[in-house]
Amino acid sequence: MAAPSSDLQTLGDLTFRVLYRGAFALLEVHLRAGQSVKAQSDAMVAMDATVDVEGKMEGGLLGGIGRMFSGESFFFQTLRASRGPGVAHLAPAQPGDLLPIELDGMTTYVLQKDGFLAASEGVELSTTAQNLTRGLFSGEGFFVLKARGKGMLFAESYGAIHELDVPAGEEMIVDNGHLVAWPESMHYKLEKASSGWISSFTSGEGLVCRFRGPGKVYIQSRNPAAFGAWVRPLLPNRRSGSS
Amino acid sequence: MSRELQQGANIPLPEIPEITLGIGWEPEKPGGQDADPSAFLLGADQRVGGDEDFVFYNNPRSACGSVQMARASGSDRQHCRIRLGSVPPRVDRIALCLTLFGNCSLAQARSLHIRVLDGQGGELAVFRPPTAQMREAALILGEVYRRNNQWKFRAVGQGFAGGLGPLARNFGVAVEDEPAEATPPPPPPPAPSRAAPSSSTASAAATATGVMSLAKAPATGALPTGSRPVQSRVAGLSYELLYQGAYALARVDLPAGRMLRAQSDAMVAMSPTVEVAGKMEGGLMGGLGRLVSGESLFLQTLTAKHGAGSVYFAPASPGDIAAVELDGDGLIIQKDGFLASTEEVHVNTQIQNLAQGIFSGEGFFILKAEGRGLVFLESYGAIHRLELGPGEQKIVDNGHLVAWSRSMDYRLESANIGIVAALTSGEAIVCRFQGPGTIYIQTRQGKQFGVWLSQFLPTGK
Repeated sequence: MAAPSSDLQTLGDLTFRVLYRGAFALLEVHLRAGQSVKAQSDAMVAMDATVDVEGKMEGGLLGGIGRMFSGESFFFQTLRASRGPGVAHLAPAQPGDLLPIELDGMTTYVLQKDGFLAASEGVELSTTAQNLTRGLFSGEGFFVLKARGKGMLFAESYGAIHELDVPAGEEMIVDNGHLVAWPESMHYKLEKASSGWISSFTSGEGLVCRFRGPGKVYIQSRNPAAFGAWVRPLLPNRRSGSS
Repeated sequence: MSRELQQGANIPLPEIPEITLGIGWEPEKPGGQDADPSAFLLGADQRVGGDEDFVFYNNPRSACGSVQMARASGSDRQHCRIRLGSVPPRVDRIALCLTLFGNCSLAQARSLHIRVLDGQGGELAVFRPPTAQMREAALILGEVYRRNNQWKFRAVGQGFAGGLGPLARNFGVAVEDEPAEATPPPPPPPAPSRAAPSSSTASAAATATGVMSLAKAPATGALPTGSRPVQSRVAGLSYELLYQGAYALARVDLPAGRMLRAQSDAMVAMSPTVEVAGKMEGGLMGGLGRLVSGESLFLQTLTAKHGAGSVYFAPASPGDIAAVELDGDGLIIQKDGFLASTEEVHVNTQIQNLAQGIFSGEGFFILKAEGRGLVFLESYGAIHRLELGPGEQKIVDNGHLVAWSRSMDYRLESANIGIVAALTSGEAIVCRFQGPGTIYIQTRQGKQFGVWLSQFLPTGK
């Protein structure tokens, strides 16, 4: 199977390309002198010596919220070409694809909290807790990341990324574990999966999202929790423990 | 001082360290297709010395660094910079080309030009190849070549049938076979004489085998699905297998009232007209489910109760999906190999006939699928199909089995010591099949993956 790459080009004030789209995608950004890119804290693969890494949390709110996510690190790094133009390569931890989205200043995108890889300077990031009107959830809840502004945003996935085009007035129901990103303008509702969804036993997720078109929802073809459930009994020394 | 060159004409280049060739065309996407300049560094034999001598969108720079392709603005869309002094001696000429993707011809491009610029951007010459009558999607615009230690430029303007792939092959680049046609259904059938290049094409990343892929990814958004909807003859509905390979995704378009059975974890997304119900198939299964430790043999049913709707579904493990049209002969499926089936297919579980009594412990459970309809198989790894002729035998490691024709004769055997697979996987079971029939195997085995992975998991907890 070919691992297709995209052309090097400038979109949203960032010169970039995504290499090896598919199972092991890699982002390459070409920074002008002084230009920076925000990235998830573990994302840096390689960079020129002209690039400096600064640890940073986005938004004053985040420190606090960061603590609420148990185990979730919401720290970003900023990679800045402070000493002249430079190239940096960034990649997610898990196998999977990257989704480059150009933000035009009008559309805000919502990402799953694990779905952020990188963004250009003009993109502003914030976290929010989803509207859990029905009080369905105990525990950590459903936090998402919002990206607004003008520039390039790179989401990451486990599995292939599919664009689900929901026509105006129509609805689509998506398993929460398969969500990658969607425009904030799109109307959606979090729902608890009906009792028929045995999926909730095995993957531990009992949530689905009901989206109303028009809009494009990006989904991933694999669910990390389901992968965990699949792999666990295959590990020889953990076989006895059932959960 | 600039000269307008006619086809076939050449000019000597001044003794300067670097020249730039400016290539332009209108509109940006002639016939709606990407137009891509490329350069080939050719030896005296008119062939590249290696794949790195092929400079194009995914390999914007030659390995020697002397030829570099970059975007430009103004009337030139791309600039190809050539540092004449650092061109390796083995390179005799550098051919500059322009190719379009898909089924279109360069007649759809206007204002095509190649300009020869000196280091300061001053124009030395320009060539405007006539394209109005062209039927080809590839064009050799011109070439920079050596003659008696003097660099020269020649206006070529020669069309080439078939696009970038065939052009690159012609110059001796090892190009991977064109990938499957991309998402949008192709325009009317291509002219039979032309090798139609895929509309998705290209990447310079030379793969391990040294074969170059021309697949090209879009700048933003999802990759092409690499698939098209298929109308199932036996099930009377359409389906599609998207992103086949490591992370395949399936979609079935259910007409109103129709139903799909799927592995309990399978649902990814669906129309709101579809209702999900948890269900165990067959009265027997509850009991069996308990026997199979940790194995869920629960199925979901997805029914288009409130009108036609689509269901997207996928396995939990990385791997592929195969669709089998059942018609007459049934299918026997390893319990992990079943992803989904249409409602007319009856699915039952069975314990294998353990005639030899070689098994202790959990035994060998299988699913039997019968009837007329579609079955979707899932694999860990790729799915490979083996067709056996009458009387032909094949021995398959049990852990690599996905499914096989029900009518086929087979025997479970304890693998003898000679079979190394059994030693490594800790499984001592193989299946001996006798044709005629079809066997679906998977190229990886979950248990082996588990053993492999466990070595790398941090201990403690």
